[in-house]
Amino acid sequence: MKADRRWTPYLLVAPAFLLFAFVVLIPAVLNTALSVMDWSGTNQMTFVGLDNFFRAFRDDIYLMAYRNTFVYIGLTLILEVLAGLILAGLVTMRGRRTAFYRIAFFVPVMLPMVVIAVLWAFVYSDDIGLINSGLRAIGLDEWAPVWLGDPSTALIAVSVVSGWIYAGFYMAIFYAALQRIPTHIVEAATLDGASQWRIFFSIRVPMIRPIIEIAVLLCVTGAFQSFDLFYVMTNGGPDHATEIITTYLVEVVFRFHNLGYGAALATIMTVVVLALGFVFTRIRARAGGAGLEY
Amino acid sequence: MAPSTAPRRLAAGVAAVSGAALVLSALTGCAPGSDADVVIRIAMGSSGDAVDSKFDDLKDQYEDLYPDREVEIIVQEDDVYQTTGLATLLSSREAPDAYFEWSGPRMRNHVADGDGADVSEYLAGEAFAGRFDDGAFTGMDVDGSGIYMVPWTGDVTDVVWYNKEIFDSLGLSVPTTWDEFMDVCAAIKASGVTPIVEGNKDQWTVGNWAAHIASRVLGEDLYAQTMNGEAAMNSPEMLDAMSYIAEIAEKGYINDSVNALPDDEANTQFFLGKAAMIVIGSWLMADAATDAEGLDFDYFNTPALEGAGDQTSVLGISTGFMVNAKSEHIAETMDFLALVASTEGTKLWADAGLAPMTVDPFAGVDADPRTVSLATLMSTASTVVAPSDSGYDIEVAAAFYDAVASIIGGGNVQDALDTAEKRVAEIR
Repeated sequence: MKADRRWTPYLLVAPAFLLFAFVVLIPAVLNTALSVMDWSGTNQMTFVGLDNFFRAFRDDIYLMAYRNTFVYIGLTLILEVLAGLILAGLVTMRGRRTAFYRIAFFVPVMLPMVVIAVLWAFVYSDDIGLINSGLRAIGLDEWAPVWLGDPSTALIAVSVVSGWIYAGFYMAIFYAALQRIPTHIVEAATLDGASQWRIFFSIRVPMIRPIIEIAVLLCVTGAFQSFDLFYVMTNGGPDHATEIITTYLVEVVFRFHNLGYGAALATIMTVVVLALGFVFTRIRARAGGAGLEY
Repeated sequence: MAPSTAPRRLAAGVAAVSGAALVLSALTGCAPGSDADVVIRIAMGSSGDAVDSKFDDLKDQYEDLYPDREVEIIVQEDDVYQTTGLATLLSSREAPDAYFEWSGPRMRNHVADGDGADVSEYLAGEAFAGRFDDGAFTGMDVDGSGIYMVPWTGDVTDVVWYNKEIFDSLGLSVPTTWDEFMDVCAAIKASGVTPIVEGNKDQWTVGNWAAHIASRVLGEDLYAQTMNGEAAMNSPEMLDAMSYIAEIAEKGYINDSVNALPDDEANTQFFLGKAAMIVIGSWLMADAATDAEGLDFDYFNTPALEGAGDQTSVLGISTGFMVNAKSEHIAETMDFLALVASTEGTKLWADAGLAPMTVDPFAGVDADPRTVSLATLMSTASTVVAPSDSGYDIEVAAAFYDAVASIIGGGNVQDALDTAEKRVAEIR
């Protein structure tokens, strides 16, 4: 008699599904339920329908937070992913002793974010900061703005710090991917007279394209998770120029004690992130994205 | 931006160890590592090292008096405490038994949330007998009933602190009107010194000053209506009031870094003599006690403006300790707060540069004359105005502070107030 194994697949999937439900699905459902309520955290909940969502789309600060987040994504794609790719290219060049640089570039990733934020706040300080002191010392006073106090420079300044931290992280990923490229391909190109520059952009980069795409996805979704760097360096200011979705969420929930509205803002953000992930996956599928095969 | 697994593993490890410690402590009813029968937790935002260390002294006194009890003092960075810190503590499993708070709406919200106990019976008992005048409890009731705080200090929320050496060297005297104040600023700027330094990164420093100016120009009633969201934020009167703030920005009388600088760093710049004036509350005395020895400085109230309000008003608010209604050790906690309010406790606070609200705030203490003077300013003021963030609707205050930050940063007054009004209309 053959054993009845109809339930086996479900039982095998169950632990993972239960864990996923516990940490993602159930909180998401509860958060969505809370988003249609007016609740301070301890008072009587009141059903308000979709009012919180309508309010979100009229909330200039919330909309500005999205604009800032997308600008931040654009800047960090350059300062983190592109810079990481270039660094990886530099440290994989043949004949160079690169271990020191690989470690040096990766060190910021290992430092606590709050420590980095505080250190860079000093670096950017108008009065004692390294940058402005240096600029003034060489007579470039007009090029020494209050980096974190000027709405036109604050977001760029924070993004540069983010790039300083994570360029090394992406360098490590790209470096590992580049190491997998068979040496005979590079050697063949070298024998054909290709320059290091040409080899990098015409052979190495195309061959690690799937890794680059994953890095871009990590960078984009990671931007929506950013918080500590912004909170410590600028707290969303000046004039909300560095307000991102998470800093505004904290303000709404913990300062204004408006948990229902905060839940609505979080629900919208979840939908946006899921939509971006979906679009990205579709684009990759159409472009024939697949794993590395050498 | 990229996810990091190492910190997560570390966090998971810490969480696991902390969780185990919590379970153990729950089983024993004590703090981890404690042999005491009763542990009471007192939470507060930091008022500076001078004050924080006095609480350690008081903890030692209490534990000597009650050997079977232990006090855990939880001090957080002030801005963190006000925003996320206290809320997180109160919702945690180890919620504080007593916590610092300002009188007024914040206190009433805690009571409404079930986090504030009525302590009037304890205050009428022997431990607190004769320690407070009735006036000390103003703003510490809910709709006229109960008392939900043990009064601690009276904070003058903003005065103009000035460096006497700089004033003397330039032959300047304390201004009594806004025009005189502008002349003083002009003279200081001409000498190459920054007239005013402010750390408005978290928006409350210039925000509080602007609120005071608004109350002077709008009149106290219209100010209260505006901060409660009942009157327009972009009224002509408010436009007039904020033009004073705009004047300071336009004339360059304030540090360029105003909206990037934290308040404590602004204090340091004032202590170092890099600016001639700073507008902040009476608690500057506590910081000065440790960070500005030898600095010759004094204060004056915001000079008279043209407006419907009391031009000698003081912006201030009383502070105290609320007792958590959910605490299992209310009586023991009140014993600690009785020490805070005792003659010995009062001396500690006066020594640290605060203005205690007890009947004998400076008895037997060689208190700094400026501290005594500030306490007198508060107690004899013809009008005491509450700051917008601790005295009124916090979302309205946030909209107002945003506008003020924009204006002091050089933004257009009308645009800033129109934006604030749009936000307040949404809240309304």
